[in-house]
Amino acid sequence: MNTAQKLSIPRHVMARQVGDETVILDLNTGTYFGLDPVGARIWQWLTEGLSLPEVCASVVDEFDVTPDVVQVDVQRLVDELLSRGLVVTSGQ
Amino acid sequence: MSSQIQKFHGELAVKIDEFELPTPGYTVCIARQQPSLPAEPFHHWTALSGLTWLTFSRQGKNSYLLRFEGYADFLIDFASVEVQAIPTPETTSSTVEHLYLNQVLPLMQSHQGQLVLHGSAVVIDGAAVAFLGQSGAGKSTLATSFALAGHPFLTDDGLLLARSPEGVAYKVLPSHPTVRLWEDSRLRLLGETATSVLPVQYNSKARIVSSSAMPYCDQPQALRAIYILGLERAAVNASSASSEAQEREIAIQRLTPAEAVMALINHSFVLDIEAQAVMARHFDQFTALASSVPCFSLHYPRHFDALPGVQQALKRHGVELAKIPP
Repeated sequence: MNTAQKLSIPRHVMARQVGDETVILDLNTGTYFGLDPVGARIWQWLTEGLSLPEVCASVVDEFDVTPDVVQVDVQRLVDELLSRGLVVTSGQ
Repeated sequence: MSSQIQKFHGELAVKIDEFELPTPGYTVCIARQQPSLPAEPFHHWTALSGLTWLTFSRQGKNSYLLRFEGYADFLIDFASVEVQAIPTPETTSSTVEHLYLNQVLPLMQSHQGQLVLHGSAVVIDGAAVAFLGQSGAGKSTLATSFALAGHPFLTDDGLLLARSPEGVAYKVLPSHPTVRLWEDSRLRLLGETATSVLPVQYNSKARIVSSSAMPYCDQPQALRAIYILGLERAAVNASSASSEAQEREIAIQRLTPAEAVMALINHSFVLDIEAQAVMARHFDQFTALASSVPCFSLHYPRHFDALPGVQQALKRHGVELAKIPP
């Protein structure tokens, strides 16, 4: 995990919270994605500018899970968001 | 714990059926054979046959050319809100009218900010319930069966919604007092005696006018729930029952908020999928709708004998929903 990595939402991506989930729209492709409640919280923290370690710490606090499990899961989600162009790295 | 990202419905492309709404006029021009398109289409719809049925081209900043292959061109100018229909010589006036009312108009309404979905709606115990589905999903047949059981229909396909000034409640606006049914549904539900009017050239559906036996509601009704037909069962039903057992049962399952937004979008009319401001507005509209109105997947056996049971299940479900405070 790149501990200094921060992520931001590109201009062509919109996200809206609906209930405890989040729906993301990629305006360039007209494609929509859904995040479940856990993914929605991670998305919120990421887009608020928290670093990945800070996001992981927040998940540990809120969902009562072990750090090693959280780190793998958060990284997997981040990798998928990056690969789909729904977030971009904004700092190294 | 697991975080999850899901991709829903690869594109916004929607297959279109037909529907009708009260409408402002349009101008019919002299018939002609369709010339080559002046601009490369940015989008198209494909019929169930696999052939291109409708192409979308831009004419200018606020103008579009919709071409129904072999039937008619429609030039839409949003600046002046004028529509010109240019049929081919073989196309009847009733077909042109139907194309306009059922396909061009809802696309225009959607582009101008209204909420329009591929769905039917009926009134059950004083509130509207809507059934969304792609062409062939059974929404007209289900609405007709309810109407024949004394629950008036508001629309059999085009579902136009109006939001209350407070933004929390929605009403279904009545469209037109006819239903359109494929022949097997017409014969099974209505028999040979039903009066069919004004056929169109591009499919063989019969168009049936409402009657005392099949009542129509001409007043807006509060929307209580949306049921979506034809969703993949595996995506919404974690039951371990065999697929054969699942096929025999009536299943109603609440969609998660994100699933509901996806389903609504996938059943909406969208004129210009490349107009980002319009897409953003659609996104907000459907997020708000999914937050206010409960959405469910509905599965039931696809044979006519099952319809009374489906009606009973939905009426019971409506009673339960009515007990839940908004």
